[in-house]
Amino acid sequence: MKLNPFRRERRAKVAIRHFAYFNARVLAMRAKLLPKETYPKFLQMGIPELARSLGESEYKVAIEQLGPKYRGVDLVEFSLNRNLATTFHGLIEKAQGELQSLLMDYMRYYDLENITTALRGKLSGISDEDVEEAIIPAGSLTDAQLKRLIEASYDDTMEILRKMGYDEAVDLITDLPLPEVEDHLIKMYYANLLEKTSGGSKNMKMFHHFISIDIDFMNLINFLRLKRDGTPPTKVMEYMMPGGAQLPHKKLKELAGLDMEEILTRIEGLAYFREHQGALTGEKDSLTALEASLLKFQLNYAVREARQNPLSILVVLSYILAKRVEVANIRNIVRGKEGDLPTELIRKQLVL
Amino acid sequence: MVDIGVGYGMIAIAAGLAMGLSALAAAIGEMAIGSAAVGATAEDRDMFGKGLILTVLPETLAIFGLVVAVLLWLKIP
Amino acid sequence: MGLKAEPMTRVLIVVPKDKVPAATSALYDLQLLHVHDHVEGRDGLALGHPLKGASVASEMLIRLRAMIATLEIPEVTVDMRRPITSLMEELEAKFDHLEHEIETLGDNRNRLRAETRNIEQQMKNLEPYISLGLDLDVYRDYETLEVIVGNLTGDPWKVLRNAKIPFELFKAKDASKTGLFALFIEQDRTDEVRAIIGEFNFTPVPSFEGKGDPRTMRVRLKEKLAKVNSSLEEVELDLKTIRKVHGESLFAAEEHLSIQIEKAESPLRCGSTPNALFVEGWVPTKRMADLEGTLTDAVGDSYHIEVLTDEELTGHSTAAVAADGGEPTSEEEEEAEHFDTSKETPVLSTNPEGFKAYEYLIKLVSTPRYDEIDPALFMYFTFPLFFALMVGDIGYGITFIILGFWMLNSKWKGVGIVTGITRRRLTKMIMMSGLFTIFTGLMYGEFFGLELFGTHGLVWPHYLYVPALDVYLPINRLEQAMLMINLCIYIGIAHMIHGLCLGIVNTNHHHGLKHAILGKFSWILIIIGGYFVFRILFTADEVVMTEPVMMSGLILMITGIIMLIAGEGGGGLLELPGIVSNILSYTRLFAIGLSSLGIAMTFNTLGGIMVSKGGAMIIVGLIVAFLGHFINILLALLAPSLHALRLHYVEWMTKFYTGGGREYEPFGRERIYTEV
Repeated sequence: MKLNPFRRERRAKVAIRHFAYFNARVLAMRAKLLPKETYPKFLQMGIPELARSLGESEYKVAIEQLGPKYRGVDLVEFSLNRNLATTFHGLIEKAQGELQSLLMDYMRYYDLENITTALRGKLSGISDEDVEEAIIPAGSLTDAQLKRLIEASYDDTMEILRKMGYDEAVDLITDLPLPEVEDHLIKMYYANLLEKTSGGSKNMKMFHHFISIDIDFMNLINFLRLKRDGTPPTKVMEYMMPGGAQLPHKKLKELAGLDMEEILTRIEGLAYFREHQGALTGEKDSLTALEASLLKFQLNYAVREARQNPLSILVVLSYILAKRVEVANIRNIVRGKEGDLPTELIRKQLVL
Repeated sequence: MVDIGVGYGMIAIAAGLAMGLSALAAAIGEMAIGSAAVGATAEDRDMFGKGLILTVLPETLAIFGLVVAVLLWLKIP
Repeated sequence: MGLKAEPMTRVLIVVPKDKVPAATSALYDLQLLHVHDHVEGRDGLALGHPLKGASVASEMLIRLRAMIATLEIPEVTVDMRRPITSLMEELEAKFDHLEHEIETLGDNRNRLRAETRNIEQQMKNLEPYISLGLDLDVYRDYETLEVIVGNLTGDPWKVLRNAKIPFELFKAKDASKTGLFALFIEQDRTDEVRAIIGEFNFTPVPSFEGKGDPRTMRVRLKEKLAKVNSSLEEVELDLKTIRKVHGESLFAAEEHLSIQIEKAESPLRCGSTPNALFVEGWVPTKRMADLEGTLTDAVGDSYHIEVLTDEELTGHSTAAVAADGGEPTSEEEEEAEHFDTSKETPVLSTNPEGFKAYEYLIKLVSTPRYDEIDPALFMYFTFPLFFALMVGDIGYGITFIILGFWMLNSKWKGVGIVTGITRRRLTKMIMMSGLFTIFTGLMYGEFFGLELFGTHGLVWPHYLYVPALDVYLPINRLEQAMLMINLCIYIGIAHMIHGLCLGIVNTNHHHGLKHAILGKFSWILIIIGGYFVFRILFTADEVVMTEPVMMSGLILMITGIIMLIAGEGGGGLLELPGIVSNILSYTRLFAIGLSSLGIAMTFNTLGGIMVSKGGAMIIVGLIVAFLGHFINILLALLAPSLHALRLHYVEWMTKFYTGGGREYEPFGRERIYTEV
């Protein structure tokens, strides 16, 4: 499986002084992420208050731009999208050479997400304008390309996608239901990233390592969900993504035959959780809380590794993860509030 | 003019090396710190002062070099 | 004076639910209480809920801020403060209409701006095609031909010919400089050609959609740009009119709504139960009565106020631990970490105005802790001294003072962070340093790099003997390097010992006398002892261990080392080389000055040579000398002040300073555009 846009290009090695510059900027940006104490406050606020409060932080520009057009949940969600895209775009613009091309590849995730969002919009008849705001233009597709994608009819979309080089995606889309297409696209995305970064410079290797950790945690969460739903082991394995760092395919296969209790004890033995014995077992009963704490472990692990390699690509990767977590947290809060979920339930979803 | 022996020439070269190499070392140190300081300032203007001071930290190396060079220089009559 | 922060009292105010709006509003307007943000679950208290009205006001504020952003209103200064009732009534009446108007105009403007950018990009893309001169049609729509347009360096055409690839080449008029070309080849050989020209730094030029002569196209684009620009100007003008009419009132309303919301959201910073709100915070002790008075005025005696002491906060106060004399156990330490009074208590420094510049410089490192000595007072003297020792030139000193007067009276607002009050304070600091520089200039006998006094002195070719110091003044920095280095080391030792003394005071306060003596006093012994030992080792012809000075030096040093090991274990010894390099680091007082003097002398010599040639060269020579000194003065402002700061930050403050305190930021804010 291969997506055409992933062309292997040779890029200049990145000088240490560029990492010093770039990572200092990233660290300054990380210092501006919302502090932990903000979330309990958000939980007490109404949605307009929350939106206003966001408008006093790094989300200021997005809230100001969308403020006249949208209200309530839409305003917050669309501002989050816009901010995420400008932030990540900014990162790519500030980076140079190999660092830049790796980040661009990493951000192609949003291309796939945007394609599926656009298709879903077409299938469910959401207005083009709303689809446009739901899109996160952080990937490699330009605004013009995205606009064409959104405005085209379903059949034209396929044609456009082919032109953009997503032939295989189109073949999938015509054969499979959308959720499975999504799953396949993500698998393609990771497989390509892994292939592209195998071997190569020190930063390539670190990137590779980071991706394989990403895969581990994605697998873990999917694995636990599937197991909870009582999916048979062989079926579970179909959804697993190969290439994990500490949970390769073989190990997952072993786990798939066990029961939940046993699985969790085994998982706790992984290096990610070594310093926090018992942290997972306490959360067993609720999968929501368990997923949140898994994400937290991934984030902590990434931050720890970044700290050990302050002049490497890991710094920006851990920032990207942290930024995504922040956006997901806010999204969970507003969605929970919109759906009138009890505060305690929303809190369980938060990665703090 | 006539009587400056090889020894004194060596001292002069040593002084030059002490100054030059230490300045080079300081420059290498300042390169990364300076880049980082500029990066941090780009995101947050309040970092300017801190960055400026951090940037001159390695200059100590060049100053030690200068002092050693002066001390050597004084040995030449 | 200035050494200690303003004494603070920690209070807990309990207000019944129904009195919360009145109480928080009164506290806000008082601007006195530094609120200690409640962390959910602490003391079993939940977080408070925002008061009613916060949501509605927020919704309006979001729209208001969007309007202000669209109008691109810079900070406005108003002479008149608007009464809020009439302001808000007026605003509500026109709000929807105004919002619609601004939004439409804003959308228009953004569209037009995007269009301008687009056309400008097109014009830029067109440039290479103009240089190539071919019609735009020829680049497209071929069945079997491929066209490659781009820049490259070198000559790949020979390679193409050798590979027997047929091609037709058009080079731009200025191709020798830019390497711009258009290449027509057969479509099926494209990959081959690309591989070859790829070796010659090929960068493609973006293709251009269009027909006809590129020059005509340029004219057309220019016309289009002018049209778009003129409509853009119209829209901007409309927006500007709105800005003029409504800008101030929008700004004022923004302030009022923000204040309303800050008041309504204050419970989010406090603990709460279903019936009451628990406000925790600090007040300057001497203004306790004001706080109580204001609260009584607002809610009568239905509130409860309690002064919290350290013991109540941590269970075991740090002072109690220190009195035991022992190490705090890990359990106690954990608890102390949970709440560290010295770190959490807000700091309101009591420095007089003159020291504020140094306070600012210290905060660049970190805000001092509440119970820590504020070093600003000492820096007030040592900073100008170090600066002056480095610059040391009568002429430069006078220039700094004149520059300072000019800066204080000029309309220039300063750049970056150095604006407003900080700029004034830093200017005064430079003037003070200028004054010191005149004195050191007298000491060195230098005036704009010329020797005024001393053996080669232009004015007074003599020495002045100072018996008390056994020194001949002026000191010639170039010729008496050894003396200068010695002087620097003396200053270094004195400064470090001073830092360590402050360290003793701070450590004594925090961890008790035993720690202070073992951890800090030991270093003083090591430095003094070490000085004598090294002095003898380096200068004496013959080292006699039993000589009294050597003996006492050794004894001091060894006692210090033993104390250090007793206090901090063997690890403390690792800092020994650090101390030596710290002291040597003070030689920069000499070294930086030498470079400054070097530059000054160079330009004097250069100017002098030119002036001696006579004629028009006299003027050139004077200009060269003037420019040289001008650059040198700018450098002298930068390098010596940075190095003087560094000596304080790195060598001095590390001996006693912890930092990490919190600035006193009282709850509430001043109304600037509105009045109640």
